[in-house]
Amino acid sequence: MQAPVETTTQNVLPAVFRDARILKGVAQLAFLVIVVLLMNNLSTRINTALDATNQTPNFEFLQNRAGFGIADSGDYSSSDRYIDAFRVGFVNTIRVVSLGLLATTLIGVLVGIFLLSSNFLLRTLSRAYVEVLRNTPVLLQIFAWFFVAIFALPTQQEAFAFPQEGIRSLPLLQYALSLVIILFIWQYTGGMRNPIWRTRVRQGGITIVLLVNLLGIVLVGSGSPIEFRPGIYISIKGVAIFELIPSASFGIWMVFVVIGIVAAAALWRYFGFLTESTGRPFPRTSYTMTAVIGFALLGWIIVGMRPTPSIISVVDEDDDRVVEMEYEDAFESGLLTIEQELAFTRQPLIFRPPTLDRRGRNIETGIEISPSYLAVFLGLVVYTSAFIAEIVRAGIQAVPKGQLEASRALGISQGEMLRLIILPQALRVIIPPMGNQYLNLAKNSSLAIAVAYTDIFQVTNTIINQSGQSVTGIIMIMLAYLSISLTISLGMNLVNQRFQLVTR
Amino acid sequence: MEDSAKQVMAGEEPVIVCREMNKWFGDFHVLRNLSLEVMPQEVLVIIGPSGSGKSTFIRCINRLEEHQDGTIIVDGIELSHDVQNIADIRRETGMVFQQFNLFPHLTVMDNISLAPMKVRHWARDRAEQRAMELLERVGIPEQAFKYPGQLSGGQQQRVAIARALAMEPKIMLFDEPTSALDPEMIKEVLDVMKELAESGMTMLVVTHEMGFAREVADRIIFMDMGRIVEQGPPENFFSPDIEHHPRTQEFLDQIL
Ligand SMILES: Nc1ncnc2c1ncn2[C@@H]1O[C@H](COP(=O)(O)OP(=O)(O)OP(=O)(O)O)[C@@H](O)[C@H]1O
Ligand SMILES: [Mg+2]
Repeated sequence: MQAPVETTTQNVLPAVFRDARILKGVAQLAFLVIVVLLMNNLSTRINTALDATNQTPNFEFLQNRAGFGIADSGDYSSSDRYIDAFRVGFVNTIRVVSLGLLATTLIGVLVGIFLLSSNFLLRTLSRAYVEVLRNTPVLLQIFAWFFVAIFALPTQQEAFAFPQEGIRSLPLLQYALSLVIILFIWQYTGGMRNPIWRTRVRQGGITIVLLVNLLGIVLVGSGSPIEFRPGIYISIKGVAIFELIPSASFGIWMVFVVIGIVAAAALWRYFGFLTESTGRPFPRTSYTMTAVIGFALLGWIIVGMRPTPSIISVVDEDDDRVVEMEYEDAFESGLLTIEQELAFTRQPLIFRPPTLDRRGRNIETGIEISPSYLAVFLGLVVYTSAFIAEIVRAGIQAVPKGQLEASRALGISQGEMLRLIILPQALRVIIPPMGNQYLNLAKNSSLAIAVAYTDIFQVTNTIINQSGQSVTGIIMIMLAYLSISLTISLGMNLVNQRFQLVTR
Repeated sequence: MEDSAKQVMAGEEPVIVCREMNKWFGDFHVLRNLSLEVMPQEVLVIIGPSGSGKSTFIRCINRLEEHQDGTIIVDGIELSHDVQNIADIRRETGMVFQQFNLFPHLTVMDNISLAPMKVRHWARDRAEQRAMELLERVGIPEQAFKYPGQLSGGQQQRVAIARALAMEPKIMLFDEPTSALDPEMIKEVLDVMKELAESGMTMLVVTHEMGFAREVADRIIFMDMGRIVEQGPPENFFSPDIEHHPRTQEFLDQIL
């Protein structure tokens, strides 16, 4: 027999005060009140202190003239306002973060796959890469890129140039023909059912074409001579890359490109439908690629048939006189202004190699990438890629071995096993920690200040020093990083939702 | 009960031939001089103590494990390093695992129709129609559009059997298909396997279900330490009058 259970005789509190929900609500309310009181107190104190030194936080000062220059700044000058300086810093941060996320993902995924490679050398090297990089501070790595790697590059006068300048002969027609043959082999074999024979025919065919090419170069040698102009310079002053400037006929060409992409999308869906309804695999990747490239080329040729004016007035170099001359001659002798060239050229895009100004110090045309940007970019990308590699490795290994065995037992090929079984399951493990690494990269970009890259943090720091508006400045930096972080989180959450498993 | 559908014809070619097969895991000799022939439509039940190499043996037949010595011929195709041969053999053999190994990110329907579409290049309609027929055969057509995580263990294992059958294999390999199941679910899976055996499927079954072995098997193989110690029809195998190898007797004493 059990003793009768003691009832709650000594509990005198009425039921409302014992309700868990009410108790929780009261606790939260109390906490909120305390926080509000503290914040209010703090802000009053800060305000009084700042008022005393005539630095009351406000946003009006942003309209004042900044008065300082910014290295990586595009069209900003020191006579612009603070808000313009702030915008330049924000854009610079976005430049590092957006390209950085892309690059670090590519490298990280590749290294992560290498970590699982059956090739001993590849596996060991990638393991060393990961261990060295994730066990040293990112700041040190940024410094190493800036002071060691980039300072070891040649001066601007002796910059590395790609491709090397000069006139070289290449058997172009032969290359073009070979490319067509290779594409043909690829497309034709796409329909073969036996994957082993498909690979064999492809490899065999391509090897033969390449050998014939090699033989052709040895026996025949030259083709049409082509003038090469360097498109990329690398030096201690950073990297200079060629520009592609859209000309007047760019719009018409884009119409062709868009038609090509739409046609490719339609083909893609159509072949997908054919595969579903007949079971036969179609080489839809190569067909859609052909559609995109084909339409782009067609457009380029058609745009090129546009007539150019026969006579054009240009300024003669020698005596600064305006003269009328044949368009072709003016083009050949390089007398056309860039505006004239853009208006009348036969090409939708004009290639402009990087050039230096008269004093030979600054880049006049072309896209310039500063050493600071390179150091921050490389430092962040390489450092973060080591963590991403580990995440990818762990994600792939998290797929149970039974899944691979079941696929193999069903006869599913390696490639399809990776695409249809391993990847969808690995991604749901990979994506959440990957998002954390993306956030880390975004926040670590504030280390740019160490190598004087003018990001949001560095620029706002200067603004604070000049204007004394520390509270406003810090709030603006916080808002800037918050908006970047929230954008990343939002994107990752959307992706994550697609890979959740349905369970009971 | 004798099944009339099944007729193991004399003089017919064996569908699986193993000759002097050996396998090592490092220094450990798992399979020793294993020789065995399986006739079409035969149901073979493999029993033996834990670690005797039963799983390793049937996993060698579809190349989930690689044997190092001897010959395995499945449906006239010799198992070698030739990837085409391996692919052909895997197309002819279906396998059911102890842990089901369904694809958790795909619906039941997609689990079953994936391989026929990707490997046999069937149209989706055909593959899905076949999947539905198979789901009816294993008794769970109403679960077609659920995910594996939403099914009970017994239902999952029946989906796994349907998935293997969808490739229309000539041989089915079962590695302890009921060992991960609660007792009340074992029967529903064994019933499906029984029906499959009666329909004339060639089956190799590793199991501890002696009732199933007695009732369905044409031949029972007893393995110990990588060897086939004893084999025979179930009437003989479970008969108390027959003199067994001491290892077999010891094992039978433990489980019966
Ligand atoms: N991948 C492996 N590497 C090394 N040893 C292994 C491996 N797989 C199995 N073994 C060993 O080989 C022996 C046979 O294993 P196997 O799984 O074939 O046994 P089993 O008869 O199926 O046993 P059980 O009834 O427990 O499933 C065991 O001793 C096991 O430890
Ligand atoms: Mg086993």
